[in-house]
This record gives sequence, C-alpha cells and structure tokens, in this order.
Amino acid sequence: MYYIICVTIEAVIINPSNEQAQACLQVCQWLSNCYKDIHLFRFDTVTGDVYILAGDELEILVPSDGLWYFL
Amino acid sequence: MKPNFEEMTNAQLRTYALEHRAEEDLEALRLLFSRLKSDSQAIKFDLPKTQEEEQEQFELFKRLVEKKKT
Repeated sequence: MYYIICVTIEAVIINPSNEQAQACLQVCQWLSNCYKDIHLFRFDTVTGDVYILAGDELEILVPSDGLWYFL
Repeated sequence: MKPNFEEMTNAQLRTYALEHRAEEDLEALRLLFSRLKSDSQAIKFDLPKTQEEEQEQFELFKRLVEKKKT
C-alpha cells in the first residue's frame, strides 16, 4: 500500500547583506550573554531590515548597512 | 479584521506582533520599528573593528539592557 503525502513548505527567501548578517549574529550572542530570550526575529523582505524583540522590552533593528539600533 | 495599527501604542504593537508572530504579515512590526527608528533616544551601533572596540560596545550594550529593567 502506498501513501502519497503532499507537503508545502513555505519559506521566504532572505538576502541579508554580509554586514547585516554579522551584526545579527553579534546581537544574538550578546543577548544570550545577558541572559535575554529572543522572542521574535524577523527579516523584512520589503524594507530589508531585521527586527528583533527580546527580553521584556528590548527592541533591536538591524538595517542592511550593518549599523544597528538599540531602541 | 485587522486593528488600526496607527492608533495603537508601541506597547500594543509589540504585543500584537508577538501574538501574531507565526504569520508573515509584518505591518504591525514594521510600524513599531519605523516609530522607534525616528526616536532620538535610539542608540546606534557600528560593527566593531578591533577586539577593544567590541568589548567597549558590549559593556555599553550590557548597561543599556540593565537600564531597560528599571
């Protein structure tokens, strides 16, 4: 007996810049060092920005130029 | 029906974004961060070029994280 299983995997292709990817890695490591949980991590394909929500009220924005903002 | 994001506070946008994090719709999150980016209180970081610079930045980051708690 054969079963046919169809699975659709939806994934958004993200293209971060090199500087942005490095900044994201650093931010995530620093949050971890500070014992902060990352609740949300999202690459915005429209603006090219990365949004990070962590801890109780930490907001970090990492644009494609690699400069990042602690808000 | 989606709420009117423009009328929501930053805290409400954050809560909404967290509750709907499994969805690909980023409208609430995009608005929250566009507000925050134009906030003069935002602290800007650059990629460190030396180990000393990285250490200094991390110390500042730690202080900012601690400050948020209070």
